[in-house]
Amino acid sequence: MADKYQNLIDNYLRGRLDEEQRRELERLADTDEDFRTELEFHTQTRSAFAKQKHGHLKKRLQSLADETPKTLNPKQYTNRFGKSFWLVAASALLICSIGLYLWLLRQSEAKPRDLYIAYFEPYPNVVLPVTRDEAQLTKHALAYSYYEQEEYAKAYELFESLSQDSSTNDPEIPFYKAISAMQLNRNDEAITLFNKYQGEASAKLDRQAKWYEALTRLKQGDKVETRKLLQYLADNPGYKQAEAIRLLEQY
Amino acid sequence: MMPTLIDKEVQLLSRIRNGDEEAIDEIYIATKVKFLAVARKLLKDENSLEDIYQDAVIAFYENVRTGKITSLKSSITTYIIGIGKYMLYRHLKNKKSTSNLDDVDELNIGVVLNSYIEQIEDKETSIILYRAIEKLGDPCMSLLRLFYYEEKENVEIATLLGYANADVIKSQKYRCMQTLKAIMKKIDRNGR
Repeated sequence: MADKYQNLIDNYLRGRLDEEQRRELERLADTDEDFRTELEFHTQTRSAFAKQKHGHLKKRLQSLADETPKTLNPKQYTNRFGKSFWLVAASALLICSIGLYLWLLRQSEAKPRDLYIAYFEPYPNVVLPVTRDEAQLTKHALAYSYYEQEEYAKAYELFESLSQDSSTNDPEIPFYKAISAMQLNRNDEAITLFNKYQGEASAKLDRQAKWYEALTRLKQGDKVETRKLLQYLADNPGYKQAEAIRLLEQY
Repeated sequence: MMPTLIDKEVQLLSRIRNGDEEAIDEIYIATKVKFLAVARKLLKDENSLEDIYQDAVIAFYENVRTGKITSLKSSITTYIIGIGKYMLYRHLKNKKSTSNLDDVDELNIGVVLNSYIEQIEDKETSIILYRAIEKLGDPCMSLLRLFYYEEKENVEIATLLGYANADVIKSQKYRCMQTLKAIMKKIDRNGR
């Protein structure tokens, strides 16, 4: 493809053709099949990258969706049970809750290990969508593929090797490496990695890193640091705010 | 509206423009309850509502990021509810009940949205291409993403990826596009 065509297509994609260039583009698109194919290819490439990003953002929001409180559907109030039914149900629930609360009070403080199990789930892969039918994955894609398959030892090893490879431009590697390390019980290392990741300006999963660092500290029984991190998440809106508030009440 | 609120919204817009993905979380959480209150009058299916709401937030984010929305004539919440209602009507229309779009189009959202919606819904034609970019690997993946998605200039890309100058990016981009074509051919062959 001639240089001139490439410039024309690039300017078209950026929406900065002047009147003369626009006419030239239309003329070529009408008369030159190669040009038309090339133009379409570039336009579709742009769409494919947009679609890829859309997929990442969608996963990110889906992981948020599970924890945001659902408001009651107003329609649900008009139902087949009368008001008195709900009054009785609410009273029964209240009595049960008080009982449960008193019972909980008598129990010793919730064990960090149990809380960890209750709250931990691996963060979804939002960096690199992995298609499983691919026979030949790049090392980069393979790392995320192992991560998704919960093969954390293998994922860790590949993330480790990728983080030493300067040609891989993926700022999220320390984050996923840290979660893999958590799963392998290398907790101190996970904390170091989370801190390193949070210190980088390009970190897109900063709150997520704080949340997972809090869980790692929880697993280690470090109450002061855990609560400090959770307090930050609870005070600022975003990822895991509701869970941080709940966990603070329990720990 | 309180000045502090406006400041916060302006700040959110500039964070989105800088690619701060946490901004999308905040918008998602802040607007959800209000959106659902409106949307549940039109559609009962909670799963579809969640799906549509997520798409509306992403469409808003993308339109701000790409400069299609530069300033707000109303609050972010109003905007997203507008986009969401537009998508909701599309959803209902696709399920064959006809609707009138006029009443949600006050903010000219339809025009703003079209290009983005077409992009992401164009599944059939770009499916091989989509699979091909997943297999691309670096440096091509980063380079093409910076060019096509982030819409960075060649000079900026050179700085970000550590290349000598903009001309190198130009020739490297050409090579990457050739690689992409080759991967597509391979996928296409294997798929048959």
